[in-house]
Amino acid sequence: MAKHPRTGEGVARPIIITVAVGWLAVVLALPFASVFIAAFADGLPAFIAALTTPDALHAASLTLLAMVVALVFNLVFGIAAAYAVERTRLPGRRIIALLLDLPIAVSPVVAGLMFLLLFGRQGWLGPLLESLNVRIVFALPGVLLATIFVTLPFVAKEVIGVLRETGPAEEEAAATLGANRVQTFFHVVLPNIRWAVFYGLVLTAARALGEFGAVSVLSGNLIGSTQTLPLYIEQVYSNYQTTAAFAAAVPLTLLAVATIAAHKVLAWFSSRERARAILEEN
Amino acid sequence: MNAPATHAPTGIEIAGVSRTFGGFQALRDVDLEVRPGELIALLGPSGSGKTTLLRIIAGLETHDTGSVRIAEREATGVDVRSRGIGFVFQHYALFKHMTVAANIGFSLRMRNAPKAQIAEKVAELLALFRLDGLAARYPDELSGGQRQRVALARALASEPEILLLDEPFGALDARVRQELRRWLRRLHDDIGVTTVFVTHDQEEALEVADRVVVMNAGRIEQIGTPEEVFGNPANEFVMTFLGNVNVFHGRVEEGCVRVGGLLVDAAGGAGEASNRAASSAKAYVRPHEIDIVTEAGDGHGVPATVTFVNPVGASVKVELATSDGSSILVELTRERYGELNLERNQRVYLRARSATVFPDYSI
Repeated sequence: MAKHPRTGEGVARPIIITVAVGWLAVVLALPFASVFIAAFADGLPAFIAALTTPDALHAASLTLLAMVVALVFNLVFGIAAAYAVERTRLPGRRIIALLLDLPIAVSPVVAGLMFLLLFGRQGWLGPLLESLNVRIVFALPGVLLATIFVTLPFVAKEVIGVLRETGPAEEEAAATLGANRVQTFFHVVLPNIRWAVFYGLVLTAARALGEFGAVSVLSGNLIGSTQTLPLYIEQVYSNYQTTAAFAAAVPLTLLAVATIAAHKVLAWFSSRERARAILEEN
Repeated sequence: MNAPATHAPTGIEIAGVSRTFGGFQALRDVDLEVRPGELIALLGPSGSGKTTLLRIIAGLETHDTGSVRIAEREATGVDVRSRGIGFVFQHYALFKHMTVAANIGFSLRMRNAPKAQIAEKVAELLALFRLDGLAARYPDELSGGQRQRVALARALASEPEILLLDEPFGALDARVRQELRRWLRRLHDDIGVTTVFVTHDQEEALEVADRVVVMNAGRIEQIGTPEEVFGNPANEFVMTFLGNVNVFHGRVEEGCVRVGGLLVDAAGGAGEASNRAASSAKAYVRPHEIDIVTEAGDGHGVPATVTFVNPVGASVKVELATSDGSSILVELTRERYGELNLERNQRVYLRARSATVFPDYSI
């Protein structure tokens, strides 16, 4: 094996490697492994039993529902918002672009409180919602609203970046060649932004699965009703049901790993395309 | 649709077109008539409005005032798709994720033409544009010249009545550019489609176009054949923009302009200058219209000192400095250079064979 030209065979090399590996082990590998060890501490039957309680199943299905809704919403809204910001002369499009940073900048708990202030019983729109017999806070809409809010920027910002980079020339070319707006979108725009959309959706899914703060404020954490998986884990853990907590953590952890894998695969694809684009420039 | 290839070409009439972007006036009251079947160049520096004008003709940009008529029909408000134009973008704007064949066939696919007809048209264009064997390639697998030809083939696939090109050769290296512009001229002569192209390269415009439209600061300065705009420029901007030119400051005397010891005949705008009783004038002389003599002779000639000689090329370029410190460029034939045997710092006299004179109001 070739020696590193700069560190050579000095003492620094083994020390650096030991520190790096040790640090990663303490911060990443051990906690990760501990989830699985704790989940299976009482054996496989206990693990399955803990995962299949009605409350756990309900929490898991609610989390998946919130994720799917967030994915669909972001697929439509994200692309539309990105298009509005980058390809129209819509007044206020710069403000949309700025507002998209808000869900990242604001603490999820604060985000939850904002909606509580708006839609809660004592909130500004509370009386109106009550008269219409619509419940948002401490109900399913609250969970969905919180999830959508925290995932809002992911698809939109990814697509804005790609639209800005590619510029409108291909779309103009399509128009001069007789394509209408729908044809241009499906034949020209979508192929150019598809990796950005997938990438944004992967980030959306990861965030939707893991969201705690905003959901915990808005949902009211009603067991078997508005409790999502992260909330369920927190609750059973507080009740000293360690195995149940870790068992429920296993699917979340596996989904996180799957997300990272998808993220890597997409990054590889899009960087390959970018590399081709750069080669094309020269 | 399916217009026969032999249909009568279409003209364009532009009247009183203005366009403002924010506070920047890109076009000011532009009038232009493009004759059917003509190859016309919009020539000007960046910011002169030439690309804006091209995009307005295409319908990619709107105009604030005035009218654009294509084929004697008002085109204002008509969508890009319905104008019957083909457009070649500066950086080609090929569809990156489509093959060459898919790019060329795009316009026919969008119009739901039968598959067999698309295949036939694509094959025909691949052959015409010397792209055989590249049908399955992607744009990033092509050279600059090939991409340019794909862009042209794609724009012509639906047999547009008007072809618009934005700096078609701008992104190519010098040798390919030379080759492609001669080829564009031949192509135009073959298919006869009315063509408007934008360029900032005067050589390109003069070599390729039937007529050249010289633009500056949102206005048209002059419209004419290459001979007209080069040989008989309407104003100082056109004079200086089209090729190298030397400026001599002088005085108007009885229809002539005296520059130092040099008396220039009242060509160009000099008559106009004397009419307006301008006492000063600027004489513009092309480098190849100046001769160098070593003896003052009859007294006609501007004294100058040789500062640099570049003997490489078809003509010999000599740089000189006059007594007032201004720099003069002269192009001599090889024969004349051989006779003169010039050296650096040699004192010589300049004589202009012809000059274009404009009144000088700056003094």
